[in-house]
Order: sequence, then C-alpha cells, then structure tokens
Amino acid sequence: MPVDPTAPQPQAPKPRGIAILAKLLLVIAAVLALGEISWRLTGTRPVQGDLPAFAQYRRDIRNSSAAVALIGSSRVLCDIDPKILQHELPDRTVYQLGISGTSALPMLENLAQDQGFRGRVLCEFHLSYATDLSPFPERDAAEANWQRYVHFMNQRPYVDFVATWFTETLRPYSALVEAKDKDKDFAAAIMNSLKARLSHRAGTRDAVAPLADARPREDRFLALFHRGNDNSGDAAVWADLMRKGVKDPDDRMQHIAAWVDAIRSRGGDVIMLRMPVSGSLKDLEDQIYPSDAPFRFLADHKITLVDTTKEPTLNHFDCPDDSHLDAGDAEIFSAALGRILKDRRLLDSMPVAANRMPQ
Amino acid sequence: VTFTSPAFFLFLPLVFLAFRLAPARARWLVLLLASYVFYASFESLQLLATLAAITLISYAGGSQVARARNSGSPGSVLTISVLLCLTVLFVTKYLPHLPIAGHVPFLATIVSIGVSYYTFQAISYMIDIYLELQGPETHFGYFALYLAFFPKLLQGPIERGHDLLPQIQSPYRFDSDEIRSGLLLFAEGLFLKVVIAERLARYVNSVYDNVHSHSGLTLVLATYCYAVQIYCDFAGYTNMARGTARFFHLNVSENFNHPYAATSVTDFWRRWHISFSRWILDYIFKPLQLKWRTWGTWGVTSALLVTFLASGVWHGASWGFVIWGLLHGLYLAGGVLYRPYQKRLHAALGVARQKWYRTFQIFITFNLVSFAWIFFRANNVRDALYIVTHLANPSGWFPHKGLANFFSAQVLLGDHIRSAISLLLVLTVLLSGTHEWLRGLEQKPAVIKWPVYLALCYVIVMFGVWGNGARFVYFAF
Repeated sequence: MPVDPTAPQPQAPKPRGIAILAKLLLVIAAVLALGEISWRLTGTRPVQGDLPAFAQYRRDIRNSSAAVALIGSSRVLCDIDPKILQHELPDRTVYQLGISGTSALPMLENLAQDQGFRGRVLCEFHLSYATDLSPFPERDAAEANWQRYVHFMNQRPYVDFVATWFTETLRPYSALVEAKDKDKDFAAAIMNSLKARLSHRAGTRDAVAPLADARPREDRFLALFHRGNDNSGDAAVWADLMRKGVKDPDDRMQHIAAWVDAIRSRGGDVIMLRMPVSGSLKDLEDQIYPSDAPFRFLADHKITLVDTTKEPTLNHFDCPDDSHLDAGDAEIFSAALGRILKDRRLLDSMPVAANRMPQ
Repeated sequence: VTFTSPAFFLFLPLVFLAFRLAPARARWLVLLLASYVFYASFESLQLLATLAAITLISYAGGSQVARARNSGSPGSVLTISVLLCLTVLFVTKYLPHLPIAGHVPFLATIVSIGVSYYTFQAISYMIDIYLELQGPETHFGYFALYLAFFPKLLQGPIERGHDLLPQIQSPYRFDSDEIRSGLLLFAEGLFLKVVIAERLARYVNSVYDNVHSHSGLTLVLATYCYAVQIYCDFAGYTNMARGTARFFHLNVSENFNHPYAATSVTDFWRRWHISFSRWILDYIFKPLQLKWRTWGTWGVTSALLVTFLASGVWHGASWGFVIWGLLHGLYLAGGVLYRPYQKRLHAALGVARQKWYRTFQIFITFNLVSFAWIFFRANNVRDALYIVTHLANPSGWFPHKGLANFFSAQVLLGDHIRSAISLLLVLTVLLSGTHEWLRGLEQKPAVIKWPVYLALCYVIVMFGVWGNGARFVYFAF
C-alpha cells in the first residue's frame, strides 16, 4: 500500500513535566553525591559550625545550676579549654561562650537579663572596663557586629534563612557545604591531597599541612541569630545595649555590679578573671589602665576576682603574640585555673564575705 | 536574591509551582507578585516605589499618547512622560553621586538596582506608541509585569513592548522542550558566571584595586581578563534570565552574539548588549542622524559621538564611563570616516576575503574594545591613566616578573595546574562557542548528552566561586 507523504507523521510523545523533574532531581542528586565524594577524597570533612555550636551552648546553660559559662574575648576563647576545665570540675558543665574581639559585657548583660540562667559565669575582667580606653572600640560604638546583627534580625530574615539556617544545618553532615562556605578551591584541594598522599608514601608526611580544617570558626557573635524565635529576648537586650552603649566608666562599673546582682539573685554567681598578657601589651596596659580602682570596686561589691598576674600557678605564662597563650600552654593554664576554682570552692556558693582574691 | 544565591534555587521552583497551579487567568498575577518579592529582596522600599512610579508614569503616558494622537498633540504628552521617567532615573541614579548628596542624608540611602533598565523599557514603550509601532496596553497587570518580570528586571535585556507584551497576553502552554532548553541555558549562564567570571574577577580585582603596584604584562593580562570577565558575567546573567523566562513560556531576547569575534567596533556593537545598542540606535542615534542629515558624513559621526557619550553616562555618574563612551564614539566615528579608504585599501592589497586578515581584524577590534574597558573598570580616571601609561613599561614586560605575577597570583590561580585549567575553560568558551555546542547536544543520544549535562553541573558546583562576592557587574548600571 503506497504511503501518503502528505499524511501527518506520528510523533514521539513529549516527556511530561514529571519526567523532566525526575531527571533534574536525579542529575542534582548525582552531582551533589559526586561533589561530596570528591571533597571527602581531598580530605575535607564536615564540621559543626561555630555559630550553631554557640547557639547550642547558649541554650544549654539555661535552667542548669551546674552550668559554668566562659565569657569574654578571644583570650577566653583561645586560652581556656572547656574540656580540661570540665575535667577539673566534674560536678559542673563548662560551656565556652567567648567571642573573638568582643567585650564580655554584652554577654554578661545577656545572661543577667535571662531569667532562666542560674549558673556560674567565669567572666573576663579587663581593666579597660573602668576607663574610657576600650580595646573593643567598634563594638562599644555599636558598629560592625551590631550592624550585622540588626541587619539580619530586622531586615533580611527571609534571605539569610537559606544562607545561614540551611547551610548551618547541613554543615555537620556535608563536606561539600563546608568547603563551599569556606570558599575552598577544589583544584587546590586536589593538589594538596595528592601531595599529601605522595609524601605519605615517601615517608615525609610531616612536611605537609593537615588536610582537614578541624578548628571551629570563631565568629560566634552571630551565633545568637541561630536561635530563631527563641532569641528574641536576647536580641532586644543585645541590640538595646549596643545602641545606647555604656560610655561612662563609672556607669559601666555600676552596670556590671547590677548584672552580677541579678545573676546572684537567681542563685548563680559571677567570677571575674583577669587573663594573662605579656610583652609590650602588658607594658601598655600597666601604663594606661588604673591599678587600684577596678579592684577596689570589685572588692566593695564582693565580686570574686581571679587575677592571673597574682596567682603563682598562673602568672608565669608567656603570650607569644602578647595577648594569647600558646596552644600547649592553654591546656596547662586551663588545668591550673580549674584547680584554683576547685580548691578555693569559688563556684560552690554565692560569696557572702569580702573579695576572695589571694593576698 | 540573585541568580547565584542559594535562595534563588528555592525561589524559582516555588514560583514555577505556584504558576502551574494557579488558574490561567491569574498566572500573570503570580509572576507579578513573584517579581515584586524578588525586587523587595534587595531591602529597599524605595526601589519598589521607583518601580511603581515608572510603571504608573509609563502606563498613563502610553494611554495618553495614544489618546492625544486623535486630539493632535501626542508629542508634548510623550515629552512630559519621558521627562518624568528621566527625572525618576536622575534622582535615583545620578543625584546620590552629585556634591549635593553630602548635605542630604536621605540621598545616600538611595539604590538604583535595575532602575535604568526598566526606565529605558518604559520610554521605548511610550515612544513606540507615539510612532504607532504598537498600541497601548489596556491591562495594567500585564503592563506592570512587562516592566517588572523578574528574570530581566535587574540587568535586562531591555525588552520592547511589542515583543514581550503579546507573549504575556498569550495563554501558557507547557512544553517540555522549552523547560529543558531553559534549564540548559540557565546552567550555561551559571557556568559563565561562577566558574569563569568570578574566578577571573579575583585576579582582575587584585590588580585593578592596586594598579600602582603593577605595570606592563600584568596590567595587560588583567585588562584582557576583565574583557573576558565582563562578557562572561553579563552573558551569563542574560543566559540565566532567558533560561528562567522559558519556564514561564516567555522568550526574552538574546543580548550577545560572540562579541569578541567582531571584525570591527561597529560589528562589536551589533553583538554586544544587543538590546541596549538597539535602544540607543533607535531612540538616540537615528533621530539625531535624521536631524543632522544635511551635514553628511559629519552628521553621522556627530550623532555617533553624542549617542555613545549618552551610553557612557547611562552606565553611571563617573568620568570613567564618560571616557569609555566617548572612546567608542570615536572608534565608530573614525570607522565611518575611514570606510571609503578601507574599501580601496582592501581592494588594492587583495586582503578583503583573506582568512588571516579577518583574524587580524578580530585581534585589532578586541584590543580596541579591551583598551576602552580600562576606563570602564578602573576605580577612577587617575588609575585608568596610570594603566594606560604603564601598559608598555619595559620592566613590567620582563617575562619572569609579569608572567610570574600572573601565574602565581594566589587569588586566581595558585599554581600552574590551576592556571592551565582556568585558561582552558576560558578558551573553551571563547573559541568553541559552547552555546551552539550545547544546543546541538540536545539532539544527541541520551548516552552522550546526559554524561555531558552531569559533567557541566559537576564543574559548576566544584569549580564555581560562590558566596557573597558573586554580584553581577551590570547590577550597578
């Protein structure tokens, strides 16, 4: 039978939307899986981000009278190892809430305002609190961190939801998310990985830098954001503090006393801790900061101070960068600090007598 | 939200889902709301207010121009409407850069992302009604969507009313081929942007943000890299915009056609930012040329100079853009004056159809365009003049120093392997024409095309530079 060339030719049915979607999802899944495998082959590992870790710790210290919160700047964050301190204080649970480059005071106020907080606070005491000369000028002037904070809280929640919540949630499970968020270069990672493997075979492994970046990031200031609805109270407190600032030193010290009283009124306590400094920074601090007034103030208000410059087991440490201990020294320092807290029972009960600073 | 931000990869499927589920008569509304949400993500109520103002002015202006055509004074209505639109553009884009802005704190908060694109669209709509190339759109929602459609809202293409409005009015029809080609276009654009443009940007920024530390070959390489970066950045955005629009059965026009394969600057402007060059050609150059037609060749050259000066000013309130526009005006005007001699010269030398001569023309054109990019990219005219005067610095051309700077620049390459990979990717895009190649791939058997799709996505994910830095160059305009 002759074929009619003008007759419409049967056409293959076009794929339906669901088929395209299925293929698309398959490609995405395959690419993500390959990406994950590739990054892991280079040695990159998923880690918990610093922000959710901070948020988790901040949540956990609520309603726990055994909690010990370490608050302060990078000196607290780097110099005190919470695990070692915990080992010395088995009845307590130690949480590292230090924030790089940030005064301890906003966090102290945050804890003072939190009705659920009943634990102890180991608070970095910086002599600048009693002066106009703050090493945290940006923060006290409500600049960088405050702006980031308010920007996120008030204006961009729907945008940053994906960028923070989504990636922070995936980060502990995905090397791909971790690598991309840190803007790691895959080509460089492959090269480093190959070098490491080759040098491992050649028996020169020590010459190669470690593959995985295991150190948590220290930008914990933003971590409060990650508490979502739960942080609305903190947000208001923090934003308000940063906005108004406490510029007058006397006013600031009175605030500190009030915050300590607020924590004590709920059964908690605050122990001030003067962190070690050395070299030119120590000379500078000795020169510009008052030597008597802050200590007198703490004594008058019966606030305990552990002054590392006067403790025989803490005053011999040297800070390589004048401001922070060497990592090895930090472990020894933490253990010595733990023993002081334990032996003098500084965390046991609210002080009723005079300042228990060693004479 | 931009095309490369994680939020967009949630936004687009959600909008598409809402679009598919919505009844046919409400689909325009879904797209319009999505477009406003997209624009609102830039956190400025003023931006939404600007879009609303331009929409209202041009909608009313278009209707009034059509009505005034019967009463006899459409020209004055058009003039008022266009001036109003230009006033909005001036206030949002230029006023914050004038000295007066220092005295008015509010002006410092003004942002102008996308404003010049939809303002030009609005102006072309009203002029086309005046020229009776199209009628006024009676449905306000369709018109608002024509201006605000989110894939082309921030960086164009600058769509004409008679191209896009009929598509918006026509009923939606699901076409799997369209979705597939849209996805492919989007992936291609993403590749250009995050794998090439962003990677090159690191090297370019490191040099251009500190030009006084460099000379000779480093400056030349950075300028060439910028030429490739801005192409991949803008063409990447356009591809992503076109790919996204296809999800909604809308065809957004092509903006680039291998611009660096142009054999003259005139040819370049037929291939680069096509929707914009068509706009300035139709609405600035042609009226001026008509007005100055009695001046002969000088009328054409004067019209070209004025047109490209306006083009430079359109890009921003900076002397760098003005000089860039003026340079292109001079190139084109020079081309017009040289053309009669060129024909004779070609005939005398017998090179007109020679392949090598065509390559030579492409090389010269690329260098002329790249030279103009120096003023476009440099942070200020002083930096640009430094680059121009130090391009030929002999000490900077010593291969050991210049090449070492390029190949060891940690920000871009880090080592020779990475430099080879990066350059290979760039050359692949420039020379092989991935666009046509990818289009052709759709017709290939599944066993060939799917591994290629997979490899493309893998390269985008693994070698792409993501994060906050991935902002498009043309957002600023």
